Amino acid sequence: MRSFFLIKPGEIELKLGNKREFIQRLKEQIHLRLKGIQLELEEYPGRFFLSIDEEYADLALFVLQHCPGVNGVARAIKTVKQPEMVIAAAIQCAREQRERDAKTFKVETRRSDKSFPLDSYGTTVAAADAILEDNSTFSVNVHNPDFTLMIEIRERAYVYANTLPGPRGLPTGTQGKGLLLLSGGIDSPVAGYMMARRGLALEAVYFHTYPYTSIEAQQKVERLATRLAAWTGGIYLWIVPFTEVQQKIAKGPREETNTLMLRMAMMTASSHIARRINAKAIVTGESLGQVASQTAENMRLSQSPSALPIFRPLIGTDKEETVALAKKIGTYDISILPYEDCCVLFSPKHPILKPDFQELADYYASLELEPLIVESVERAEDTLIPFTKSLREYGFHG
Amino acid sequence: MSSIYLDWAATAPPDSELQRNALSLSLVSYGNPSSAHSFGKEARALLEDARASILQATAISKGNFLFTGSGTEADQIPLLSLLRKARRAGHGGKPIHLVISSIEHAAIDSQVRQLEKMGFEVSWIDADARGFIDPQRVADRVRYDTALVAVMAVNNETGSIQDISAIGRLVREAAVRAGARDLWLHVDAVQALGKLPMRELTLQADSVAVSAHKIQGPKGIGGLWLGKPLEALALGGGQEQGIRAGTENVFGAIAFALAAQKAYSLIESRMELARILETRLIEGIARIPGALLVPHRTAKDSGYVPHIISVAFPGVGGETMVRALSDRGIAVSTGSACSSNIVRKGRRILKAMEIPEDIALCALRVSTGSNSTLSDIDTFLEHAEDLYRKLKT
Repeated sequence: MRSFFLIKPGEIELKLGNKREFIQRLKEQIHLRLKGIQLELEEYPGRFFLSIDEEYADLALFVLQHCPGVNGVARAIKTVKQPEMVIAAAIQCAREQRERDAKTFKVETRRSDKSFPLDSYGTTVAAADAILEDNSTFSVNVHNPDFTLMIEIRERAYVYANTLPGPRGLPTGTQGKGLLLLSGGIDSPVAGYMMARRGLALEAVYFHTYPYTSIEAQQKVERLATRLAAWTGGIYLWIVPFTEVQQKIAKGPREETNTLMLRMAMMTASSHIARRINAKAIVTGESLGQVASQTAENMRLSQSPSALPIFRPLIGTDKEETVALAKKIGTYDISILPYEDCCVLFSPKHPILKPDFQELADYYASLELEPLIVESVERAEDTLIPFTKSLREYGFHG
Repeated sequence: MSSIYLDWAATAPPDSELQRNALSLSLVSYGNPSSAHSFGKEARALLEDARASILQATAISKGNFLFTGSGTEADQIPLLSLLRKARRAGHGGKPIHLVISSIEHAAIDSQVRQLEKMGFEVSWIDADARGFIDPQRVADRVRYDTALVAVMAVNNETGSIQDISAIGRLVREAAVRAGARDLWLHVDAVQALGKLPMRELTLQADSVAVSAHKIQGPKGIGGLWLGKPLEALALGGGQEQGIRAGTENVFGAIAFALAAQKAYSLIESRMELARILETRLIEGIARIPGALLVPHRTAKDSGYVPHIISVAFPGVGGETMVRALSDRGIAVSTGSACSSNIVRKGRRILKAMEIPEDIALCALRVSTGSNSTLSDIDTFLEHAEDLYRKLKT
């Protein structure tokens, strides 16, 4: 048995200039993410139809709902273009909705094949009548129905209800590549998700300061990256050994600047990595004023070692909104695992909120961290977390 | 790489000979001790022998000793029985009052916090900066409606020995004055077993909790000594006098008994060894610039068991030090292994003693036992000093 999905692409429709490329990228992404599974992906104006073995239907639905550029997806019944077959499919579709306690419905028909014996209105009325006759507990409600039954008469007839939401946005890679600073916290995976939805292909970087932070903290970040990979279609995770850099900062005379200097050092290292992987932007989970290092003045300093634009998609969100998103994208329950430990001993007791830019930029230079940072980037390990690993994390096996 | 185990307070390395003997016996007599046939009776006999041996080894002359699944369970049973009391007494809608030390192991602490959420009223008694609970302060909090007082015998992070005799005496007097008729005194003696005489505790307490794996017995078996009857909340097949239902762990009980016999027959020589190790450790720490004991103590201070000692390396997080030492084959821990997995703000026990947070966060616990050697202590000191120099920021 085959399962059919109707896929509605998102903003692609608006990007007239690059439309061809966007369509191509989205198709590529769907093929890439369902690699190894036999499928047909057909393209029509404003629609894709995916046909896949029923065994993989749940997987396909998951993949499509996590694929940026997909606006909506619906399981469809595909049938031949004969009125009685279309009506039988409509009844079947309505019965499935009845099992989910739907009671009211409306029918909409789109007919691009004008040779179909019924016109759109006629098809709609015939289907609605048949559904009501099949089950008298249904009633029609055109304003606020429990479900809308869609009939599309194209080269074949498709019947479906309930379009499930996709991530919307732009297909992965259409905006080039970005490097995400991934910590073990709640914010950075959400920032990654938001930029992935804007068509940015992502690699992630984590700064490991063993033994000040634990192996468990690193494993937590690996799991976060694995979950994030469901949206990005796999992800490279760079783990940069940063202990010596942190130690050198801490040995400096100005304890109150520790966090700021560490962030500048991370930005310097990230710029090196970004250059190596040809990333066009750096992504962080910063939100204005959330912690001492995230004031406008401090961000000016911490971004200064990078010539690339810094994308901070959470800059104007509050914690509650970010937490809600983290829950939605599946990273929250990992982010709150307790492996953030003794950095409290490294963080200054009275951090600077409004630094003098030049003075601290000079202080950063005087710490002479560059050789240690270059070395740390050379010793960094980059590991591909494949999309299939992410699928296993979400319970899809085989 | 050398391998040095200095985390005996988390669990003691098993005495394999003793555990093998217990296993052989329990494999032969495999019946269910509650069965009426000869298989059952054989197992029952082993179980009862084990019970009697434990009472004999610990020189406890009265009351009942019941096997439980762990020290934690032995702590929970008297606390949870209060739920039945609360229900029966009706208490005119008034909450039941408890007096609990703030330095209890999570087995007591978490359970009491849960009861507090359910409406029990709790007076928490902080320890002083040296880790001791003032008996008078405990007694002062006893009211007419106080149902239970719990103070541990030996603290699992600092090794401080609480004066249970004085607490018992003063609390009883206070109970008479306040008109608290059925006040129950519970003592968590998990870290005291094998290190201190048990008999003295049973002279004052109504219940005492212990665990086998802290004295080289197996994990999965604990014990609850009861001085008077108790109504358990969790019910089942009526085993262990209805206090701890569930088919009895005959292997565990025999091994527990053998471990207790050994621990108490060798208690003096083992105590002497522990004191020698303690002295070496305390002197060694004094030679590491910046390092300190939490709380500060001198060698052979009778207020502490010599087996457990907390050391802080200010400026380096306790967990950082534990990881770095572990990489060099040395096992120590930050406080209770039972609470090292959970989020916490500072360290609960050291906090209750008003140890400053930046010191408390840098504390780690060294605990020794019968197989520990002076060379273990020297190796620990050598690596700790080296790591402290390298990691201090």
